[in-house]
Amino acid sequence: MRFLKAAVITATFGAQLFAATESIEFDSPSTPFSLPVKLHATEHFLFSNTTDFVDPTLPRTSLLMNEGRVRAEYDQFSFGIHYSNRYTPDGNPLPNRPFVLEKKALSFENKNWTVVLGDSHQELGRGIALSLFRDDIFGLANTVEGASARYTSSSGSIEVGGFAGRLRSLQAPVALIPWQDPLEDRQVWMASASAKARVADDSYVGGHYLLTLARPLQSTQFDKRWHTTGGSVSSEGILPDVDVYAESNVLSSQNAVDGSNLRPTGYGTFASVTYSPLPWKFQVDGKDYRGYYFDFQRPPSLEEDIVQSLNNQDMSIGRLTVSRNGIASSFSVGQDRVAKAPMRHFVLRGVANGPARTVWVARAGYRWLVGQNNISHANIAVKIPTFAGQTLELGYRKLLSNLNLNFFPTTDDRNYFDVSYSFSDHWSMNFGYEYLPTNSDENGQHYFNGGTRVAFSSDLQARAFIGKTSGGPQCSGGICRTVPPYTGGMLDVSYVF
Amino acid sequence: MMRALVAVFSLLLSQTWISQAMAAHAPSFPATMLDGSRTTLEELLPKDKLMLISFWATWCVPCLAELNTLSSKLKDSKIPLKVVTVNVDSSETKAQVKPTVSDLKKNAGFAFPVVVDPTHAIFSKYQPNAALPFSVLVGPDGSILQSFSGYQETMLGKIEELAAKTLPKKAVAGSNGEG
Repeated sequence: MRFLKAAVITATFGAQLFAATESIEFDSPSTPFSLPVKLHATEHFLFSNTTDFVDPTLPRTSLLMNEGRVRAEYDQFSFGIHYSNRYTPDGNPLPNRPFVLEKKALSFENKNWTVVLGDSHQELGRGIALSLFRDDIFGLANTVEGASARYTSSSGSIEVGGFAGRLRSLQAPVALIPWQDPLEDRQVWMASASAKARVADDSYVGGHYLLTLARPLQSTQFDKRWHTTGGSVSSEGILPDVDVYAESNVLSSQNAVDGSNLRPTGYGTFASVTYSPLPWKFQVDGKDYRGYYFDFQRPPSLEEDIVQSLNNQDMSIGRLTVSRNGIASSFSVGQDRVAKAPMRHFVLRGVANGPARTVWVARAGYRWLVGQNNISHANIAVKIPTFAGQTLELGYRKLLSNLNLNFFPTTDDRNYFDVSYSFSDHWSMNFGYEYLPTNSDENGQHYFNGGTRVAFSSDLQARAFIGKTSGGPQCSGGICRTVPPYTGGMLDVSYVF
Repeated sequence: MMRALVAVFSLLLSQTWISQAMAAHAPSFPATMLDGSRTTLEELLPKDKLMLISFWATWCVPCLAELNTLSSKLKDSKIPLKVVTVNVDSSETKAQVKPTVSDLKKNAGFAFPVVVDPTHAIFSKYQPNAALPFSVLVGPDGSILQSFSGYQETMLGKIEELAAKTLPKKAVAGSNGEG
């Protein structure tokens, strides 16, 4: 029997442009036999031993986290669960969770229908109206626990769907620095309907409606209500080499008891036009989010992964990207209505093959929020083949930020050096050094860390890390957030059946 | 603390026997193609070739290098292989998918089917922790023959070896690589 194999990278320290290039291959011998029910399962363990970043004199804390996913397929039906547990050997019982059934779902899937009873991720349009997604780095996996159904015609000319249920977040996420639980103090229910239809060759119109109700955890009375209505149009090749997408949403926030408005009506609009007369490519993207305060979304931010792209509530940005033969430059112009300042951002990036089969990746840019702050950023990385099957990767990243220019000017200078060496497809080591010359002596200016990744077999893989990282912006799946410094060690083990 | 770690490893190693009863088959899925049409794994599977399911995203530099290489090398190849790509860009970067595919088509002759999986419904079935690039080689019977994590220049050579081992000789001799 041959098994599904997977490489697992669950925690990322520092930005490595080649972070996703680990090379592992598997081929397990097997004894063929078949079961009417196909089973798939994974186990993931994460052990962390850390020093408190606020008060390093406190005793170090250890935490052992585990999660498993098991799914059984029978014909067009499947049933899956996701469970987790955690334990601290330090004697503090508070973090201990012997067993948490995080998710469960019974699904029916065929070419045209997807029906789920239980937990399901959902997204409407480009994630402005709603996005319930999974991100392992930040320990996020919000789902609707209820029922959902979607029908798509075989040609794709018609698609209709709907869902209803209660939102569920992870209770014991297996992540070093999990995102704050958006449901820790409230219960949220949702119901939605959406439809999309082809109106011409490669041209679609769509619409969606979402009702959201919320109440405090201890209450039986809903106190907040949101109505979201949105529509989209898309057309590929509407003119020669021109593709267009546009979506707009209206968000109404109400007091669920008396129907009064909690906020003025919010608007969220995104549009993208691409013109590709090769070898050139021109793309114009625009977002216009006005008073759009809604927690469960992941809209296009049009921001680079150097800043927390959290302001998707009241901001407008237009971005022009011009690219040719692996080199691209973009210029963004916008208005941040929360910070009450114009925003500008210029970025130049490129990928190139160098001599001796080296591959170079570079990016540099300058972002400024006029009168408030500015950030210069640059990355460069090179992958160098050495001996047979072995590669050396070198990376340098710099972020120089001048902050609070209108209030209390400060400078934050961050330099990240990464060296990693892959001895084979199954073993690599990496070393990092972070230099923050603008840090106070108390916070430290030098951060050293190291790690290794080993694939013991096709089923069992591990990563280990020890040392210090300085924190700062960390991005995953389009979301960036500022994470605190980390001092300690961690072991991350994955087992795929 | 050490006891906890030892317990973890013991548990993992002792579970090897459980995996002997687990499925060899590629998880089935319904899917939406880039042009909006619907398909399934079963429809995509060729009867007399191997199928490589290649997961990629527009922001994944090694993934694009892999797709470029596969496109170029498979044009005149005799490897009995069908490549199906699964794009996993989420809502943040979904706007880049079609322009990127256009680039690949015009620059490298990319002609593989593209399945779109913005919510990772398919990706999470194959790759539980979303590391890219990631590819799975599937036999005509739906069994998983091998998986590749990371971009490997030697991938096609290994696929050719597996094709020679697993497919009837007639199929190997008579096929052209599918672009």
